[in-house]
Amino acid sequence: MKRILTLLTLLVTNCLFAQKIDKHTLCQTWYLDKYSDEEEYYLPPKKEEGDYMTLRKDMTYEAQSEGTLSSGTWMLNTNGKYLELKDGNRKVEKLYVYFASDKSLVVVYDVDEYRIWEVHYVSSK
Amino acid sequence: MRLNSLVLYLLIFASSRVFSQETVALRSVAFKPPTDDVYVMSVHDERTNRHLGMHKNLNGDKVTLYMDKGAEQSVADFYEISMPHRLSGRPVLIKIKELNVQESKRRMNSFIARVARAHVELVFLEKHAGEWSEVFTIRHNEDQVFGLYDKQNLYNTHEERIRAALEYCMLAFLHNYEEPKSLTESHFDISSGRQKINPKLGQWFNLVTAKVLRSTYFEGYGISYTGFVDSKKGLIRPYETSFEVTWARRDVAEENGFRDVNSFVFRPELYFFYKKITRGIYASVSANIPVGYEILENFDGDNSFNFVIGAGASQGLRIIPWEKRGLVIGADFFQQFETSRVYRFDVGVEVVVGINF
Repeated sequence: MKRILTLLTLLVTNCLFAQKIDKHTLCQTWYLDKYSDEEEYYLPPKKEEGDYMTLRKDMTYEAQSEGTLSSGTWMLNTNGKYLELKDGNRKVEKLYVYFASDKSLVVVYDVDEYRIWEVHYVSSK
Repeated sequence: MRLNSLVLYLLIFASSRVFSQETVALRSVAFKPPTDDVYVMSVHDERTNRHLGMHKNLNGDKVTLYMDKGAEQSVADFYEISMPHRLSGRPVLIKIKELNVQESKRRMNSFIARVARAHVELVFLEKHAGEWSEVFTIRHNEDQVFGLYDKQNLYNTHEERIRAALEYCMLAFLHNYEEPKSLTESHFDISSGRQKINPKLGQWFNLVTAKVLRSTYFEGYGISYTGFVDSKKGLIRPYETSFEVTWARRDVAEENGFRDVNSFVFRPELYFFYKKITRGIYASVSANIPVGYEILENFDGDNSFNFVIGAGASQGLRIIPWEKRGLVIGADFFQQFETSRVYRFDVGVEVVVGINF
């Protein structure tokens, strides 16, 4: 039984990583929902409540992080499975996409301090 | 006859050591270009060395990595999936100036991480008035960070980063080509001065060193492991873990009413930097918070403990004459305040000898 579960887990994980990300799926407002690591889920701290990012079809974005607004341009790299956000000061953030659907987006920020956290966004509150 | 066989065997063995190679096959994953009008007519590989680099494979053998169909065909096939040839389309020609994959390590927070890079430099040409002319050049790095023990995942994903780099370059070309926006509006702005692309990941150094230290009040020895990524510019942040044992010099201990004073101290760093002065020579500066305890033995043989905390700093040099492996020598001058029972302020020197590999 354990072997079957392990196999299923591997298959599901493989499917997640093999998922092709569609740009149109990403074009909406994503609200920060929770964080997770290998063990459990965590609610965002109070200062991050209400954080979001809006990805638009014209490749511009708007985001709120810890209550601070930012905006700029974004792109999707399908083969690298990442989003790249570039704000008005040309500062770049890279977000590896682990899962994307109409309702859910799971990313990992390519920053040393946050690389161990999966960040879960939802499309509506 | 036997000699001939031996020579033949040695030749085969030497060839296998020198020419051992593995190939990378790009997976067929299409991306969505912003226009359907452009297609890649042909790709020319202008690299002097037409491989992707020398690497240790998962068995630990040194191999040279190549694209399975050659770089020209592999890159052309990759773009063909997303930008199929159309009769009404506009052809572009691509020159490959750089295409390689690299691996190194770097400090990540308080740990060491592996870093992988795909480095690409492409030149795009278009036909104007019957002549091919260069219209766009881009250098791009696809970097990815892995755990120290995640070598397998790193090695197996070199091809993914090549695909990502090729996609990035094409999107940059098409967006600049199709939508010549103002510099502040274009996501793929590669105008000179804004894009600083370092083609090489720095070399990772491992140093294992022993040190002898002597100060106004103490003497002792220690052993350290230091890892850092070489960099010509800027400050280098090494990773270091060390252990040292010190004891008060006999006359100092006696002046303070003790037969023996031994201390065991860890030094969590506030900052620790190397600065490359020239090839093989590095200056180092650090500030740390010594935390630990002293064992004080009085003349009656009774022991007491003293909690020690303070602030320390050091300045020194490391000389690494051979980059691949060899000898390391160095010296540090240090100062520290501590809640020691035998001193408040101490200065001293450390002499360091070790190896790099």
